[in-house]
Amino acid sequence: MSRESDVAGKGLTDADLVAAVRGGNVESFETLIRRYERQAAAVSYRLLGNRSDSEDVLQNAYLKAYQALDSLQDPDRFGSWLLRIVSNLSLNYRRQRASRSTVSLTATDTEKSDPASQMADGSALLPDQVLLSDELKDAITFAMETLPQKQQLALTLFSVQGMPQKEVAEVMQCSVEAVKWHVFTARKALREKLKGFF
Amino acid sequence: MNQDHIDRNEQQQTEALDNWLSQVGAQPVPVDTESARREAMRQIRREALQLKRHPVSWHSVVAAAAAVVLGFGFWWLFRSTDLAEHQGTGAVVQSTTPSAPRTVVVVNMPPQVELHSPAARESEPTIIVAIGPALAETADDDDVMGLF
Repeated sequence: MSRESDVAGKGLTDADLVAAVRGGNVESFETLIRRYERQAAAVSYRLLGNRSDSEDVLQNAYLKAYQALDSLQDPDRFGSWLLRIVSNLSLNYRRQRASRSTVSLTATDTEKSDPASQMADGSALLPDQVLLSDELKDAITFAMETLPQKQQLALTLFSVQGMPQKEVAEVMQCSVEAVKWHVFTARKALREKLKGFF
Repeated sequence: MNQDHIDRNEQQQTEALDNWLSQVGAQPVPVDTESARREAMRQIRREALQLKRHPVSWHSVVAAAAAVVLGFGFWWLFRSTDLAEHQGTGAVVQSTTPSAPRTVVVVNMPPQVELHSPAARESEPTIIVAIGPALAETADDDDVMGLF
């Protein structure tokens, strides 16, 4: 997972930017973050189901990535590496949050009932998404939360985020076959949990 | 319900599930990425600034290297020093005589002054005054005081 051309840092590879950051150019790190922040935010939000928690985790993940940048062995894989940090921190955060309280991991009531929020997250009026009712969306979110972490992460990255299996394997630091297996078992479990909706 | 029917049913459910999941994925997330990045960068810049204030600069690296070279130079210069050669120089040298004191100062002294250090005895008539840990055992206080 390496990007060369985008608005920020156009023409520079991830490896170029990582080298620049290691050389003391902090601004290059911001360019790197810009490249992957949407993906990182999506992964974090899908795992946490909460806007402000995701923002906290992202902020922390960027800081940790900066501090650990010297340990990144393949700078061309910065994207996968960053997503791995985001995923791990999100799952850790969720575990800690679960032990602190039993509040649902789905969006808060305020977020759900607020029309502006619904517009913002696209859940309200997009015609091609009418099929996905709030009830079903909540059921999917709840069902995914009950999956083992690896299955949930694999399904989130592959089926929800649409990442290729190879990239999912890079983020999860496992083989493509393992990703396939996690996705397979996760689907099977979800089919069972969502039986009433088929 | 035969196996084919079960398989087909599972296949349809999987397709529907994938469709739902991709719909979930297609929805924009309400996360303020700008704010998260800005706040993280603020902390990162502060951290980078602190590193600049207390850098492991090339100055300190050069100074450390120079100290090592200098130390090695002194060791090389005096590693096989014959104390007798340094008579009268006032140099601080390292004795290679096993029985001699480890650190000695070679000074000008009248030949008739006799010291009790092993180094002095071995290098006669060279005049050597020893100082350092072995001094108390090998030389009289009077002799030393007379030298300085």
